Amino acid sequence: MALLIVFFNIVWNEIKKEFFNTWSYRWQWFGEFVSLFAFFFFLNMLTQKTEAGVAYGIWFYSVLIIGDISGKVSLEMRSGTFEQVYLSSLPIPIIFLSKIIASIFRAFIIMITLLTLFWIFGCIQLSLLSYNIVYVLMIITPGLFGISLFIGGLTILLKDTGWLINIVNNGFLFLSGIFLPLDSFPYQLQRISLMIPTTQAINSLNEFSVNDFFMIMMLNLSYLGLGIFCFFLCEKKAKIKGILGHY
Amino acid sequence: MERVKAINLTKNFGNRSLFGSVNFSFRAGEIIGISGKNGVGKTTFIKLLCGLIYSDSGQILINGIDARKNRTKWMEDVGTLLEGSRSLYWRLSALQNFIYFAGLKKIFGNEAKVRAEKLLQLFGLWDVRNEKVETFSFGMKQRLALACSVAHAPSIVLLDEPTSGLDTMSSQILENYIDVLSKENKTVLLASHDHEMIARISTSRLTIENGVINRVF
Repeated sequence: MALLIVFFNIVWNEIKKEFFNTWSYRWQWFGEFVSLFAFFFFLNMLTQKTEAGVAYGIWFYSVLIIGDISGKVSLEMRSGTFEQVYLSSLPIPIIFLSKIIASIFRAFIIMITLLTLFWIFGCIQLSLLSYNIVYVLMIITPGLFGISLFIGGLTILLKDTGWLINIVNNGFLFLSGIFLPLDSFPYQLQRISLMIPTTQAINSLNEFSVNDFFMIMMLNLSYLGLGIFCFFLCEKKAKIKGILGHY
Repeated sequence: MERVKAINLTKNFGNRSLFGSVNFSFRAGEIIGISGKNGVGKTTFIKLLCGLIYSDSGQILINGIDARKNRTKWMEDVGTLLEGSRSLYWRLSALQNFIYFAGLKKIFGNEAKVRAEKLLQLFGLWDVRNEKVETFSFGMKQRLALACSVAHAPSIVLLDEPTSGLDTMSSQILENYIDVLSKENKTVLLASHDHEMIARISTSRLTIENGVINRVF
């Protein structure tokens, strides 16, 4: 019980910090948000593909999550606050879990706002904004955080992984079936595409089965497990090399 | 009982040996000044004691407990100041920073606010508690970072170059605080190039040279 109270407190602290930080960079956020919205809005006008709105929203959500841990690690290493996390008496996984929850909270708010705007401007249909989307996002979130932790771990050792995040984000954008249907891809590329959490999420919006649910869940939990393992392995190596807070 | 005890502590970076099987111990109420040339390993020494760097071999006992085997207790017993001004969120206010870092040390709600008032007043920052850290001078940031690092009232305080770049007033506040810590029977280790300050406030001195640690009482 005591640990649960501590956990809620630490999550609340993270959400507050996230809010204060986001607010202090509000114009930068606003600019990015407007440009992303405009990009999709005009793209949608050209393609006339209503499902693309939801698919694009899911991709945007994955971008926010994938870049989150490595972005935070990189930013905190540069600013010098990263080592402070490791001076905490709380278990490190608890701190990162609280950071993750705070990020999900923020990402959900941003994505729901984006999708609502798409709906208001007629880019997507209301039926697609049903419970299905929240359900699907919940299933793929562990996998996205697995990838985020994997890249975050590499960031502790390599310091700059912006190039890797770009590759992953663009790969997800073009391979998830947002613009082109999966069956237009060569066979090998289709196999790779099906391993991507966002592809599974976008497919599930159209047709969802129990079998799919277990498969997607297993895939995403595997990514999460791999991500956690990689992150703590990199952290240990950084502590041995003495480069934990270096940038 | 020793507050800090190291047994056969070894640390190498590649082919360079920084510490070769060193042994030392510090007791309650001691103020230990660490001096040595640039690159001899003063910061590494501090980081080994606070767990940010792992030793290659050997053991560190904090209040008699093997530190690596009980990380929670280790972090509860140790407060560390490293590159003070860079250890803060500049876009947050002094109070927001304190509350956040106190939370990382399991101090929440009213208790965090009470400690914030006590420590920020002690370090002369209470009147500017709602101002963003980015507007602070270097000395103010250093004082705030120190307040955050001792929010949990640790029994061992590690300070890496605490007076570097500080003006006379900030240095004096810091020296007074170290004196308070000593009277409260805490153990303080401070690495510094300021030999005069070390001579003035420390109860013993520790020099690092060629991987060997010498203690001067």
